[in-house]
Amino acid sequence: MTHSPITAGAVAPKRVLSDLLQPEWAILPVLVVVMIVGAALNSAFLSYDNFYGVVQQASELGILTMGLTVVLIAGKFDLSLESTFGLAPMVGVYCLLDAGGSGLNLADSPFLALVAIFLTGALIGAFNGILVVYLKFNAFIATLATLILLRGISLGLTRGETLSDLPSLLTYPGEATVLGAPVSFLVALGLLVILTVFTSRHRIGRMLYAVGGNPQAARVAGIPVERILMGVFVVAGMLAALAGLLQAGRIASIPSSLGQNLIFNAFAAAVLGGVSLNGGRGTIAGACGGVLLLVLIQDVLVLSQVPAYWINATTGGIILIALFISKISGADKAN
Amino acid sequence: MSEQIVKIDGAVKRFGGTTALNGLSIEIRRGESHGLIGRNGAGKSTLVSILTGLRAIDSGTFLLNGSAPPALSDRNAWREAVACVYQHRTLVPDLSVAENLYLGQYQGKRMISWRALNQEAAAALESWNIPILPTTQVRDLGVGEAQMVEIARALNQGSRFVILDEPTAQLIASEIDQLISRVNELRERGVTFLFISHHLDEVPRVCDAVTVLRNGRDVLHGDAQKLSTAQIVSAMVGDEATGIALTASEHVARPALAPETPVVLKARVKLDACQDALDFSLRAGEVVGFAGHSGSGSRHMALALAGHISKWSGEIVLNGKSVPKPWNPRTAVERGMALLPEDRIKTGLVGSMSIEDNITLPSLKAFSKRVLIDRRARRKFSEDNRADLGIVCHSVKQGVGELSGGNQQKVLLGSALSSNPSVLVLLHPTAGVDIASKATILDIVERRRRDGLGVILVSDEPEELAFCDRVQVWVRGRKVIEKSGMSEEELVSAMEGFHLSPELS
Repeated sequence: MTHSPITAGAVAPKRVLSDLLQPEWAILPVLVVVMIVGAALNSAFLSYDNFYGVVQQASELGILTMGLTVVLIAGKFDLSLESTFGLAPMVGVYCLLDAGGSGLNLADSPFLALVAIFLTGALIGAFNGILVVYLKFNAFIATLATLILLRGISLGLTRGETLSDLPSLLTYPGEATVLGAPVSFLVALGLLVILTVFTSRHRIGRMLYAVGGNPQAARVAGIPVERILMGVFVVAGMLAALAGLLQAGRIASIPSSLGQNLIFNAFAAAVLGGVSLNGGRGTIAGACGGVLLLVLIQDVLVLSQVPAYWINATTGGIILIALFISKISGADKAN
Repeated sequence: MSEQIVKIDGAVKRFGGTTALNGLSIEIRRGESHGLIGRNGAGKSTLVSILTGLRAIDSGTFLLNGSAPPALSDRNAWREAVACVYQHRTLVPDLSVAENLYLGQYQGKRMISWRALNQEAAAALESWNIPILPTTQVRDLGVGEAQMVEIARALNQGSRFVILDEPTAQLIASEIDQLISRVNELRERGVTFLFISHHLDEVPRVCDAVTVLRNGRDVLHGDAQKLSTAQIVSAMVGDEATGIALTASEHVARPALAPETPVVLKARVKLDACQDALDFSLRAGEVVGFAGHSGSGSRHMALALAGHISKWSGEIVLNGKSVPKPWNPRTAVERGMALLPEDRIKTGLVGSMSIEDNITLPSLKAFSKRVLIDRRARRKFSEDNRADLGIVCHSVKQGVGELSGGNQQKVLLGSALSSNPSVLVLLHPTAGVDIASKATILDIVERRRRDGLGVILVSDEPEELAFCDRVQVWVRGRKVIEKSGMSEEELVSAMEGFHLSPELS
């Protein structure tokens, strides 16, 4: 039934080429270019201290983006992740510790606070999941509402103040160094490996792509679509809580605005890394590449003394350029 | 004014290699209701697209109102000459009836005067004797009422020639009577209709003249009052098929099942949408056809069996065990019931995933070793299937979106079979598939049938239904007949709402 070997042979190299045009690989040469430009503009770019900072930032954003990517692959999205990023560490600390002289101080156990942080992330995810999956609210509106609601709760809880004097159990993952690398980076790297194996080699991981690519087909194949989507929201909430904890540890405090506007960077990174907003396409590794690119570009801009006020504008420009590239390379097959 | 609204002579229309119209001629006189009859693929839709100016014929002559038709791009001229009421609604549900009537036309430079718009709409509706308030939201209308609004809109835009494309398919009996009396009323007032229907019993009630199409050609013209149903059916089916019992044809000459063959599925299912309950049993290795056009209930019954419709009462016994409620697709797949959906792109395949991913989607659990998927076993399974199903591709890692329709259908069938079901529900399994793939697909099902797979085949194509051991025919929610060895004529006329027993015809 196969065609002649000549046609089969002629097809193979073309496929390799088109694989390299996939947005998740297209990012590699861009990363190299950015590094060269960065090194040329400012010698401090290649220093250990600079990389340490970049890697820390990239890890926090990366873990948040991995959570978002899992939701995007399954064909939904969650804007409220950045509020979870800020609120989950705050709830844990506020309820259970005597941080900065304020708080409910229910138990004064850093360990319980740690558990509470992840539980908060999971509960917020489950709440969003119920709204979007079972009540079938539009994901944009529903998670926009939770975004605003949760952000308001963080402000209300702390009255706009910053929680400080965090116990070392909570700050350790965000600030410690092992073998010259930040612990947060090792955590992110571990998650990258686990989630990559999960999405490519675990059956539920494959189901994510099926649910995102064609929910009706997934249903016909007997996949429990609703349950998978609920799980996705819960996992994303927990990852956002973890990312928030890492950032709180790095800055050794929890300001009421922790994580503000970070979801836009996470979306930008995912899109840069070739994750489709229509669901069913994209990889965790690609999204992490996007994170690295975004953080590196922002770092180069800072080192080149571009005023901080202009950095947001460049992020917007980068996303548009990435969209153009994916359109031209034909990777954006949805349209 | 010409006597003929439409005069087509020797029209030919090709799409690539297929000839949709092959020397078709038809004349529609002003003021008549003209019935257009033919099976799927006879050329009805192509003819409609030509009459509405969506396509041009390749050769032949086409006179509209006695002169050459307007250019395809002149949409206004076409809108004034011909209107078509399609099976699917083209009204905007959240706007009022009045707004829908004047949609796109009430955009003068001044502000809209709602009072004037509603008054005008009320006058228009009244003049066509349609008792609907112009301020009603279209969403709140019944199917029949919405159809009348579509007809009123067509007439309002100046057209006095209206094509009704299977207008009764989704109507209940009382609505059909209403529609027919409205159409007859409007015809008295000089409106010309082209009435496309699958239900032959309606034809003499509505039509003056009838044209029957087969294979892109007109095979019978006549007076609707004088032609007998048997004459129409034999024209639809063609001489070559007359009288031959379908199930006796060579590809389904199956030996009788052994008497001890177990029953794999026993069902008593009542759906709200259908008047009759489904009551049947299926033995291992048996193929039962559910025949009927859209809206007949055959598809709904099959979907309920496969767990895709939750609202039903009764009992389904699968492999000797009563199925749990809610009976959903997931439990159905787990218990050994697989479905091959009719729309492989929309509901069957995940276009962004590979052949391998798609073909193992329902059976991922079986390929999981401890935690992860056993990639080697999965690759072997998909390679075996690729060879077995004859899927033409350069690798099982290829995306299914790149495959031809026939190959996609084979992947989908492989996927449905991958969970080793004991019952397989097929919805129009060979629709839109090339001839070679059609044969392969039925071959694969036949092989599995021999191993004891019970098959339910939903279709309105006699060629597909010929694969069945017995067929039950559904018309408008009622089961009209169940038997084996039906001839093509008998099957077609039963689906069209006429039960011809061979002795009488």
